[in-house]
Amino acid sequence: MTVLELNDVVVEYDSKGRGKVRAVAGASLTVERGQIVGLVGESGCGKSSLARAAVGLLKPAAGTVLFEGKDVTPLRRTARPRELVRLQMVFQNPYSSLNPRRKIGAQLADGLTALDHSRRGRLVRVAELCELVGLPGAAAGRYPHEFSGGQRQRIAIARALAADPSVIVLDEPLASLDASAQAQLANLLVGLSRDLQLSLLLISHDLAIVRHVADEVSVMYLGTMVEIGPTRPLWELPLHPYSEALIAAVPHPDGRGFMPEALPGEVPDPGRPPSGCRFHPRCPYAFARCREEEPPLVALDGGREAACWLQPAGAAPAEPGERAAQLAPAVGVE
Amino acid sequence: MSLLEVEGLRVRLPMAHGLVTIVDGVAYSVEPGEVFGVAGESGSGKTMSMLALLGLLPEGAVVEGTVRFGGRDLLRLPRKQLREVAGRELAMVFQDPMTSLHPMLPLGRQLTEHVRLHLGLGRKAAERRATELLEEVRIPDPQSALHAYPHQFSGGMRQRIAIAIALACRPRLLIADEPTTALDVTVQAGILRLLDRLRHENDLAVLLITHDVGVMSSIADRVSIFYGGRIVESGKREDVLQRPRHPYTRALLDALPHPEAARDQPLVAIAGSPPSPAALPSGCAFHPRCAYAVETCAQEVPSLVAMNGRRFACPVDPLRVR
Repeated sequence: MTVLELNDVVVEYDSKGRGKVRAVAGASLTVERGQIVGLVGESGCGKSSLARAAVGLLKPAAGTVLFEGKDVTPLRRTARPRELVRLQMVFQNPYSSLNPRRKIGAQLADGLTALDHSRRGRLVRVAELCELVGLPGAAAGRYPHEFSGGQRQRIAIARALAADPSVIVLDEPLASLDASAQAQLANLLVGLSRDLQLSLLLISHDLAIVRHVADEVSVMYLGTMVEIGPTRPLWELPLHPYSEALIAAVPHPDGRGFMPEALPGEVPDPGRPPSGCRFHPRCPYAFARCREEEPPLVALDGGREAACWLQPAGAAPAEPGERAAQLAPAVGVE
Repeated sequence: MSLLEVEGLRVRLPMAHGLVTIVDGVAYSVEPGEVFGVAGESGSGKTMSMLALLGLLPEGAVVEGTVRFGGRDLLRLPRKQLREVAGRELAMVFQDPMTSLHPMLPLGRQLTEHVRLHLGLGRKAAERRATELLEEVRIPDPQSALHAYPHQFSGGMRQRIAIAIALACRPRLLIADEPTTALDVTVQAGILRLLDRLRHENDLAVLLITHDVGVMSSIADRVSIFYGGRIVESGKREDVLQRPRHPYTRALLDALPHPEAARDQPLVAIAGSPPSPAALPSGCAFHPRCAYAVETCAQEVPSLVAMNGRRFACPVDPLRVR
């Protein structure tokens, strides 16, 4: 069952002197019940904007966002519709989303007031939430500064869980944590998802962690989705040249001295995206058509999707370099 | 002779309750043209031990030990002479290039300041050197870049510029503190390749401080692992990362997601969190989190023992126990 569905979402920002800048230029994404979906891409690719649109923190210029089949209405001055309480978000820096002057217990109880009116019931639930995320029972009586970075992120997750959500969108929840705290938190997220049938949309630039926890991965480049697929096959055989480049750039901590591949060029200005395929100026396989026509995201064998002229709809997935070599005589790959 | 030789380095910083030991008895050496990796979690003392070399510690810090660099003891040099050495032969690059680049000055000014001050070059010669430097770190169109400001460049380009400035006086040692942490992997790979090329072409030694074992694994020749202000293990990259002898190194590596790990297999996190320097556990600082700890671990600080070209501070050897 699909719990979160983004269709052709466009997010625009007003930029002085440049008119409107499209941070997200028509991106689609679905999250199934109990699924962990990873959203990866370089900074500036629009993944955080898409996340904000997904929870209604900003209003898409076009496209629809559906949560459990209902429209996600952007947050305004009026109260948020009751149904949307089950769609929650966790941010990168828990210290800026937690109130430093209030005890943890009180902050967790905030999320409960709408659901549970009895004081005793709230106290019991706060203790349960602490236990659920692996915090000591005494945590409720303490302040945010008394906790480590990893523990604060647990508190932020507990607060999201207070609303009994079915979907949590997490924007870089593991960044700025040490390896061990990252491992603890990654385990917690996988456990919560499995035990509570919770769906997670995990935005991260840390590809190694996403590979480990996500069931499905969406790769975003300059405001559009370039590849979507089940995690393991996507990692073993990336179909879009951009996914291929991202994976090749990840260092290996195995002591063998593997030198990661650098992707030449820079992410272009989203205000002036390249013609045709947005990735073509940095793509090693680009040919004439790539400069003129933007490839649509098409379905391929094995539940995979890619937006690349090297991967025709319905075809068997193939390594981009191999496909380019086959096509070279016909299309004039440079 | 080693380019840099650190012995018995101890750093104490003034805190609310008096002096707190942040770095305790650290020793290592760096050879010319070598990348020496220093890894550890936040608060392990890796950054403070580097700042101590450059005399950049906060007011009231107490530093002991010796730091031999090019025949001098940096810790005993008068302030003015240390500045001379630290400006010319030693250079440093930080995580966020915007902290070392001046936002209101064009790059030309920032690149020439160094060489004019330390090498005594004239304006024309300094500008030629600045253009060379930008070429060396692969900034497109270096001539016009001299007139541009830092905000006109992306994060990766800014870090390249910071490296160019650090290289201005042809230092023999570059201290790089988390130089790629704020960057995307695609850009990070470019910086790692740049550092690797510089050490090969210019015989530049790099002291690379990072929390990312992957980054260290890609370019370091030798590595050392910091925990609780001490080095717990050091040796050749492949030895330490493939056959760790200290339980902490082992645990740190086990916590990383592994490409071949089975789906749904949880990561092996280290129990608890890293200790605060102000409340370091007795004996081996890692013992409360250690799966191999025995009674004596809580009582004695294990000394760093040399064995087959590597050193580790643990009486229990996880390789043997397994």
